[in-house]
Amino acid sequence: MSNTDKEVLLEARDVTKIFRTTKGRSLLANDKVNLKIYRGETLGIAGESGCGKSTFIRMITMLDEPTSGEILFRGQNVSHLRGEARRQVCRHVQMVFQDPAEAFSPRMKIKDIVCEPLLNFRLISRSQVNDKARELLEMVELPGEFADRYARDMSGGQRQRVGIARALALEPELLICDEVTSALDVCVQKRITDLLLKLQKEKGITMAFICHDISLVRAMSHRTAIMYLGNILEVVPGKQLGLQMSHPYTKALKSSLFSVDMDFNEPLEILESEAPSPLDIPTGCPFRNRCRYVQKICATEKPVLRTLEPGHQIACHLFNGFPEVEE
Amino acid sequence: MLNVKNITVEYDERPVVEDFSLEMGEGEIVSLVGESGSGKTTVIRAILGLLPEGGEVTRGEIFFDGKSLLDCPKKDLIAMRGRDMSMIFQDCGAMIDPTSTIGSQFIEYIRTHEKMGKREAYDRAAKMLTAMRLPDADNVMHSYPFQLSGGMRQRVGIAMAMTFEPKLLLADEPTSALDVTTQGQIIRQMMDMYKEHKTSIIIVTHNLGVAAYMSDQILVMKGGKVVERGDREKILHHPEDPYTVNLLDSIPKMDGEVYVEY
Repeated sequence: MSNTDKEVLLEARDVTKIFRTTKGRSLLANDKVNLKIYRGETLGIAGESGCGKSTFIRMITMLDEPTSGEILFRGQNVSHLRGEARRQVCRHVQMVFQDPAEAFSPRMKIKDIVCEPLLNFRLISRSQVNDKARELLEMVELPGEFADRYARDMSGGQRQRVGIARALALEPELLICDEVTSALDVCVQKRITDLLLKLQKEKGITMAFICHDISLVRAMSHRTAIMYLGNILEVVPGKQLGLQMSHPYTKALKSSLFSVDMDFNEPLEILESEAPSPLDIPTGCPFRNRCRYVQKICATEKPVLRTLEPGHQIACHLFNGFPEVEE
Repeated sequence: MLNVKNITVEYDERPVVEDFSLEMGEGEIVSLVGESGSGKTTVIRAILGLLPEGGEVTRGEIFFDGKSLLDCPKKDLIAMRGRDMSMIFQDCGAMIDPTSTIGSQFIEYIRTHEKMGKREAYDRAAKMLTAMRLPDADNVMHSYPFQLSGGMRQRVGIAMAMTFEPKLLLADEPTSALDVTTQGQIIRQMMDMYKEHKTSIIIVTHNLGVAAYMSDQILVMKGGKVVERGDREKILHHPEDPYTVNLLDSIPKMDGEVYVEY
């Protein structure tokens, strides 16, 4: 299926977010981000800390408003919604958080945690909480008896399942998973991702999967966006990530992974230095001061996203022969 | 050089590590991998003699350079720690005092272990920071921990730990809090340090790739016991224990299976 046949569920158009620091400087957290999330698909977002991925999801979950640009959900501009209108859109966009130990009130029972969204929207009555909680827990493969426990009596993996149950209670159209496996052991991580995939298939949920582990994002997503200093540098179908032509930063991310099947005799190819501060973004290409392919043009002109092939876009002057992405 | 013989560690009479043994020679790197709660950190804390309140080695022996660490007077242990044996933590920022500068703590650390003037200690510290490729060592010396990035703090931690060229370096998840590119830089620097000084290293990590890259010997732990041990080839390509097999299968790979269906 080409991208034009698919329904766009959420679209970010030129979304920019600027924070003001106490000293009056401006921090450019997102710089004209354009991204589409198609119904039924998973969009992965990968990048290192400070790349703007959390800012971006705070805006698509309507926790923050963009400084400029707009966010369209089912075609409606939701970026500056307030009050009841905002609340009604929010119920369709739910989120699972990184640390399930901190996401829940320690004084609430699991059944109250998972049913709270339903009570808030008056979809069930108090008397239905016990049954509904059981049903939701069974959906995430937890025993129904857990309903009367507290979050502290559960393991990290079990708590993350509760987080998923709560997020899915309202049957949202878009589920945002923000580093949901980062606090978990790798075996538990696999069980959680398996659960997410199973639920996505059963319910046709659209997902945004945000993670710093590029190999996990690749495995989980139909398309992966690579972010760096508030910019999207590449959008690529997960399967093709790192295989073919790719952005120099994507290549660097890939080569800094320590994988069990790497060539242990090859010298490490690792990026030098650290990413610049988002208070002090270089002119031109944001990646230029760490890029090994840097040219003169990179200092003066910021590269735009260009389409290499359907579904694959890169913002890099090395690919200037390809057509610009049309909006 | 280090010989850990069948130790059992208990917290309030509850065993958390059982029958753990490890023998390592000079210039060897050993990694402990396994899930959280498997007892990895407890093992290295037991070696350092720094078990938290209520923790105790109830069985077995630990020899370091022929000396029994468990029978060693506390005074000797204190002198040894930070000098012959040192440790790097997951977030070295958390081990340093947030209210004083890197420099003042580094100088104090050096002068605790060696009679030296402040000026001389400062130069030594700055030299170590430069060796860890920290740009502008003087600036780092005058900074407070919160003013440095995670990667920089980790470099400071390694610089401090390597100051006295210890025989044994214990590293507890030294790169787990870092981004992948920074992780790569830190691992490479640890390996450079290792090649220069031939320090023996025990590294605790949950990243099997890092373990495989660095070490001569990998110990896979689960529930306080070593379930499998061997070199990289054995653990990665001929694992026998079902837990090791499961662990290897659970790691997503860049050219491996894509979970999602197209």
